[in-house]
Amino acid sequence: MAKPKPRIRVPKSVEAGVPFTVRTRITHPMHTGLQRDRDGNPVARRIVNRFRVRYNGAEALSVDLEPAVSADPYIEFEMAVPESGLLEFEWVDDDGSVYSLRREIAVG
Amino acid sequence: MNQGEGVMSQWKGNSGLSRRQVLATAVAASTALSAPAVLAQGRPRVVVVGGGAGGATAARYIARDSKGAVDVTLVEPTRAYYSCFFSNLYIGGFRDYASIGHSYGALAANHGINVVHDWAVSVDRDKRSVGLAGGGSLSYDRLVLSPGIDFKDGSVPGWDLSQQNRMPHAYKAGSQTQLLKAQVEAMAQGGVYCMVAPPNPFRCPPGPYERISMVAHVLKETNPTAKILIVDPKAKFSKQGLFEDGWQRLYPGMIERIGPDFGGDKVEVRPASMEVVIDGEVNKVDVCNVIPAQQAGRIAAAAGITNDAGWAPVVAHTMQSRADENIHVLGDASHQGDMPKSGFSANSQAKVCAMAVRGALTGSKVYPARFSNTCWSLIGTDDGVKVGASYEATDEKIAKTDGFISKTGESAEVRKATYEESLGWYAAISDDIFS
Repeated sequence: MAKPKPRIRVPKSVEAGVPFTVRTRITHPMHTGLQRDRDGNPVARRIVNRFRVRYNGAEALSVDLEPAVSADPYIEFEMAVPESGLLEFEWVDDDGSVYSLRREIAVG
Repeated sequence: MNQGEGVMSQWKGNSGLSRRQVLATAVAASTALSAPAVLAQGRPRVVVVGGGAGGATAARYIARDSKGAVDVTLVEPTRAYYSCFFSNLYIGGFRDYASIGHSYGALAANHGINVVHDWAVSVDRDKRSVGLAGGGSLSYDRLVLSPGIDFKDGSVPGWDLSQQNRMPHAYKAGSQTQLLKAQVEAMAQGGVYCMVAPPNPFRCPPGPYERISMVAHVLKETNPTAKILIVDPKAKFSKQGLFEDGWQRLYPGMIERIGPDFGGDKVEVRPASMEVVIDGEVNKVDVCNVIPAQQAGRIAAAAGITNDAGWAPVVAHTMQSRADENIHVLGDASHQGDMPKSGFSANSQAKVCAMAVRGALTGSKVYPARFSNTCWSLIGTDDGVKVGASYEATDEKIAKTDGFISKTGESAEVRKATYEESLGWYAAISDDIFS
């Protein structure tokens, strides 16, 4: 399997306290563990089981994902921030891998 | 008029008569009436620009059904026509190159059409004549423009036609299609194929996504760790559910599409370094297939009959330009209403146009316009899908009356039958255009 590739969409600048939309998506097969391959062999479970967002080091969002979530999980949410800072995103894979992205946000 | 002599020497009438023989007979007849000057006006002239699914069909139907009563000249720069439809199947290895190529020989030999291999570069609507790049001109009673598409300059920053060998469009079939296929086959293991998809409206709405399927089919066999990246300015696309279902089934994990929700509408390319910049994020790619924004082929603008968006508005009943009743516009170049820009649509519109032109010039009966279209796409081996509709002419536009589309979850037998139906269609429409 090709390495999962995360992407995010965040405004470059926002106003203090005004909600804005954050979109995230990661390419991932999200194998449920219940499927079989063409030869009838079980395909081992492998999903992104956790998604976390921090702002200036503080947790802003934490999501547990379950096997029913379809491939290439897409998560969109709104947030508001009081000051400029750093948004950090983490996707945790069943195999232990952690994929991360970060983005500066300017308030003003 | 060297050009004219060149044209005449290619003319072959029905029943093996040469134009010279026909003229000799006609001159003898008119001499008997002592009115030779009437002769030139006696045989109405139609000039068709563009020898694709629209133009060649129109030329063929006008010449064939008027039985020599209308003088038909077809202006087309290339000597062999490679159809855009089915060119993706060539990329996927399901067709060979020769099988999508067609010659104009039969149109000249079987229907007496003057085939002129030149570019039409200007239209003098007052004098009713078309200027050719080679220097000649052709006068007409009715002009049919079926020039297909041209690309809008600057629609993909960093790309222009001078880059088409490094980042091919392959959206006019021919050497570009061969080049793209060769680039896909030469990709490094684990490389990235990127497509910059076009904004609406454009030629063949499912075309880019069928191409993705065909590239994935090739890579799955030869380069299974390769990735496909689609950068798309559109939120949605034709047969999206069918394609995405197929990609998930057949090519899981290989294809990623970046729509406008992730910056797919803010793209720039750097051909020298083979980079694609998506809203500021630099992606290194190995093959980059840039399909730019489109407009009617340039002759339509040169004729002064296009709208602000670059397409030529037409009257649905006859395919006449809304700006000039002596000009008809067919296929991709026309702004007509509900029909997609496809070879099937152009062929269907051409028959309506041919009937209207013959009616106007020879008084033959004209029936109410009916149109139809089907777009087949191949997702993988024997995995064909289709979308289609019937249409009628209203005073405003070509209006859809009813339609159909393949469903996800269809059986392998249904999908195979759909693919085989498309093979039959290709053979039939090729005959309908070129034989």
